[in-house]
Amino acid sequence: MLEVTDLVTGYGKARAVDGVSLHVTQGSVFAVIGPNGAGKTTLMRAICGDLPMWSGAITFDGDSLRGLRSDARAKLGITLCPEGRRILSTLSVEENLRIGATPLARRHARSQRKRLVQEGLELAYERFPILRERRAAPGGALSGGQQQMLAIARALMSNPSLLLLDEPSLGLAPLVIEEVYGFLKTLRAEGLTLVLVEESAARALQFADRALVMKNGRTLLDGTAEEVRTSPRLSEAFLGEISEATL
Amino acid sequence: MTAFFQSLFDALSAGSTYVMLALGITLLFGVMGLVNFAYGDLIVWCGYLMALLAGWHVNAVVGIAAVVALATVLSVGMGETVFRPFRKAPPLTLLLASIGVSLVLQAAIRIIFGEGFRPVPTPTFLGNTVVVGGVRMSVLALVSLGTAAVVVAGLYVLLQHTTIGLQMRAYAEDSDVAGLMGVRRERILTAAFALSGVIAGIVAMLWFAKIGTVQPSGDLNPTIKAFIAIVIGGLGSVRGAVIGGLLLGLFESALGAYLPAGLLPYVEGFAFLLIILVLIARPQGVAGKTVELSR
Repeated sequence: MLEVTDLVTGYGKARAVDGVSLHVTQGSVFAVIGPNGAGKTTLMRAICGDLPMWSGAITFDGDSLRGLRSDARAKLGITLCPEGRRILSTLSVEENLRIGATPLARRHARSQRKRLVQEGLELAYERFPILRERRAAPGGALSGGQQQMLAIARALMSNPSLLLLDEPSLGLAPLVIEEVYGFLKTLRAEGLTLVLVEESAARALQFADRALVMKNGRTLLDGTAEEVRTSPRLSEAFLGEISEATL
Repeated sequence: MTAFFQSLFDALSAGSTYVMLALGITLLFGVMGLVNFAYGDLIVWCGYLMALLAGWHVNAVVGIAAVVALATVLSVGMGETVFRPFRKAPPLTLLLASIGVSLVLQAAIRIIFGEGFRPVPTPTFLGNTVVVGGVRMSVLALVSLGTAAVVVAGLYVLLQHTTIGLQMRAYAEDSDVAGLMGVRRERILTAAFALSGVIAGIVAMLWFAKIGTVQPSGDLNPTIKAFIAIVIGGLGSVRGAVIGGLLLGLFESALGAYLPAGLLPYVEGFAFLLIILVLIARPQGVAGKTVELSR
């Protein structure tokens, strides 16, 4: 479904992702793990078109994504739930959800949009009753956990076929992380294709089918989650950083 | 008492013009952080068009449409050619670019029309007055108030209750996230400049109906009034523009009514004094929490 080949990108002159390839099959969960600064977020941004790629290729359902900006990719069905949640704090909870429905609206005729958005809202409120309760509150007034729920619900409003989640557990209390992952399990059971970025390897590897370990913008390891989990090189990704930092 | 109500009415009618001036500028600041110094030049161009149209005895409805169309086309034109490439640039870059646009628009006027004042004739009935309870109200002042009310209400409904308005607010807060959520960002900028242009066209007609003449550097006065109103009210929010515009009207009117005659020529200076006082007391403006439409 998603094929990334030799992707190179970065910021200014600095390469942050240097020749990474990955293949995500329909209905699977793909984890990208690695230490802080490995290039995971940059990779996600390049896939969803938030950051231009320098070289390489990305295809989605067989079509090249070259030259398509993020909004066009979202229309095709690729939605990123960005790092740090990026809730629009001045918009209400419901307005955040409505914005998330923009790609859905763009895929359908004007006459159907209102109904589709309404159905999406109903589904989001069913899944996350707290959002219904707080629908009129500004997004900025929500707690971190509620904002993460809103961020996921907002991304789902577009009815994506590929959902990229960048550190959905970042800065959340353990109980809330359980809740987030519980919900991601539901999505997986519904057959949604997920790409999950996490710094903490253990949880992501438990959850994913396949995994890629990044370090310094390159691929250190890839394979099934089981292979990666049991690989002796897994600790290298994280331990290397510690020894460098302590030197 | 009548004198008080007279001052209040004058304040509100002057303020209503300032509100509209401020809205056109604050909208672009809110959406993309642009402080548009070329906004006043749109108004000047409209003034020259009005002078021409009056000479050609053009039908009023056609004339109004033409003026609004000119301001909109110019505004969208500068947005697409000059400001779009700078959309991610820091506010200072945008500000300098807008000063450049302002200089170009002003130079074009000088080349085409030359220096000096031109009369901008407007329908005479606008100068008629009605008296209600001893308060004299010119038709122009009433039209200004009514138009401002419609513009403010229209803009509020557009921003709060339409899809494009929602997308504009989302873009204003975080344009990258708006893109990730499928918003066609290029459309948002076009819409914002068009809206700003429409407002410039509307306010231009009321502005020149009041002052009666146009000259190449006539952009300065409306631009300054708009900025004073915006700074007083709070940058980037519609509410700030409304409150700031009305406060500026009240302040000028109060000065006009109560200042000793010898100081009257300095009314404008006192407006700047007001800015300084407001900025010392409330740097975010009277109405501002912080910046509302803006990032």
